[in-house]
Amino acid sequence: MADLTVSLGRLKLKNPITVASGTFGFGREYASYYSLSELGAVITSAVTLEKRVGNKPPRLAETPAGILNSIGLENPGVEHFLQEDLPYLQRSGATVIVNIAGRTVEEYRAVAERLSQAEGIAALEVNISCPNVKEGGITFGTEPQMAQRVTASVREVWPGPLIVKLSPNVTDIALLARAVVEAGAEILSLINTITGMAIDPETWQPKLGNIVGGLSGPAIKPVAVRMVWQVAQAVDVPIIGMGGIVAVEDVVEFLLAGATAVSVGTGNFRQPTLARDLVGELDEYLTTHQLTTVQQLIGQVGKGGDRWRTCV
Amino acid sequence: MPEIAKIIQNKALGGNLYRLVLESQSLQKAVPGQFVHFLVQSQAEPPTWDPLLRRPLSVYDLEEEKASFLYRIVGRGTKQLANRRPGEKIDLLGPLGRGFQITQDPALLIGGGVGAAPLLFLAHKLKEKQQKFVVLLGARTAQELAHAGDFAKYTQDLFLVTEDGSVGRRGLVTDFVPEVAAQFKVRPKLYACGPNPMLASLAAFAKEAALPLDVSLEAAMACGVGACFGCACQLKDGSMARVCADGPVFPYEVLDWGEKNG
Ligand SMILES: Cc1cc2nc3c(=O)[nH]c(=O)nc-3n(C[C@H](O)[C@H](O)[C@H](O)COP(=O)(O)OP(=O)(O)OC[C@H]3O[C@@H](n4cnc5c(N)ncnc54)[C@H](O)[C@@H]3O)c2cc1C
Ligand SMILES: Cc1cc2nc3c(=O)[nH]c(=O)nc-3n(C[C@H](O)[C@H](O)[C@H](O)COP(=O)(O)O)c2cc1C
Ligand code: FES
Repeated sequence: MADLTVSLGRLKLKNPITVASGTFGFGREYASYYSLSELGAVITSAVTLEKRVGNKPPRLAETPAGILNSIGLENPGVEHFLQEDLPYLQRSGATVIVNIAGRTVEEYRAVAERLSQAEGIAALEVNISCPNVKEGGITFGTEPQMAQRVTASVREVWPGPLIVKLSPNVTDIALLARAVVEAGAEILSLINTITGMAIDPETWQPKLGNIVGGLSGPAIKPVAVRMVWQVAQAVDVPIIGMGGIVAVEDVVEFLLAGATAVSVGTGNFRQPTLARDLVGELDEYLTTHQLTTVQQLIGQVGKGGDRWRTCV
Repeated sequence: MPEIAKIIQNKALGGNLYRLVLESQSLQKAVPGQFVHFLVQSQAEPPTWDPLLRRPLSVYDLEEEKASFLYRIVGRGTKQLANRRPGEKIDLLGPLGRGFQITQDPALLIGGGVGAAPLLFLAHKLKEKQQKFVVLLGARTAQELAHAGDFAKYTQDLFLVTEDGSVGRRGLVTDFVPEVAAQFKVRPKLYACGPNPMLASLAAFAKEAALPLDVSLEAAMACGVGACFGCACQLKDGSMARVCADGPVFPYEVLDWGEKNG
């Protein structure tokens, strides 16, 4: 068996396979398929300060090799999470990474502060792909200064490993990556969903109740791999890569691009055992390629000089 | 656990309707109203990721080792499903969700179009329990009622309605519910599945007539197991329920019948 352990700075994982926020609930639904302790980590659905009912249905529309969703961060709020969900996850033996979201900088900070009082959280992942209601609804994650402010204020109250999850809906992902690292992010995760839209040609109505939603699944993988690779060139912190992982080859691709760990999201919907299966398949991949550690794959696709800056 | 089950039959019934019969271990424990989440692609070929998601189908009937399904081709997923041949394998997840709350009351089963699917299994169970029940099935045309024959196996109290009058009475299935319900000596419980406007109309009737009604809802689904909140439907109290895990069957009175579920 190959050595699957990875270190993302202070955050040590038994293997690089995690499950992506919002696609795995708080673990309960998948725990009947396998033990959550088999995963590198469980990244929870977004936790917000108050309970959120989420967006108006319909919330899903399938697109070629992908899905659009507009769930709207439906979750029971941080107090419920601490009372019911975190204890459950701890009993399951999972390494728990909590994804947090908010509508204002103060909300992000308050959730992080509340979570810092709890035991057994391996890391926080800050979802900055949310509109800032105080500042005209601009998404935190698309504006470097706002992204920095959220990161810095969470950093002040959360002493543990801090992951900031980047939005792909930007012109220059490296710019955002540098900004949040400067503000205290120790690990970056990417990509969140790509904003998209689908219209029913018969009814002339948007397919989502929310009109626009986030695209995920294999359709977005090339964009995600490119962004992971670019960010790996731009900053020195470890990366959790995600976007369209459905097979072990996809995991390998993200690792080669520079990710130290990966998250499986939409793929869970198709095959509930996928993330667990990928742990074994990654081990097999390493063995058949005569490698002994995951480390030997990480970032093997290097800078490529200036070739990539030309027109395509 | 997902199961790789063997296809015994996948037969066109006419009117774009198909009956799929499988040999399955995991579906032995299914109850009426539960559904199964299928990967429609061929298991013999390397996976393609399009369509990406599973497709939910209600359990149509269960007899010994054999689980059957009734489906209508409406898009690329159901079209691929129709290409599967007897002898091939199919990847399924289930049974999932919560089924009908079967009470002691005499029952009126109301199915609109392919919405009849979960009602056959219910009729089967009611017959086993020797409970009185009547089935009312509607569709646009006689062709789209190709499943009516399967119901005749369990009951003679079968009323058919078509929009064009090509078989049974002419009209919408909901037009005949008050009349059929009035013929029961003891007040019946209603069980329904079909398009949302039909269910909304039945909910209004059930409320007026003060009759209990279970409806089986449809929603686009991703995980099918309750993890993603993608299949949410609006409840009367302002909260959301997951059609896949809290449903698909709900007592009508907990649902918000306003525009949000329509
Ligand atoms: C609990 C449940 C039980 C069902 N039982 C049956 C059944 O027994 N027989 C049957 O014929 N159909 C049933 N349906 C509807 C069936 O799942 C859809 O017709 C089917 O998924 C359409 O797939 P498609 O690729 O052919 O269509 P597409 O339109 O290409 O599908 C695209 C996406 O939309 C979703 N979708 C499209 N139409 C519907 C719909 N009407 N309801 C739900 N999701 C939809 C699909 O799941 C898919 O994600 C059921 C749905 C649910 C939720
Ligand atoms: C239904 C759904 C819900 C999601 N909810 C969240 C969320 O609450 N917080 C978050 O940071 N990302 C959320 N995401 C984004 C995923 O975590 C992931 O970044 C994205 O889907 C790309 O990975 P994938 O293609 O493997 O799904 C969600 C994605 C989906 C499909
Ligand atoms: S389909 Fe995921 S919660 Fe229902």
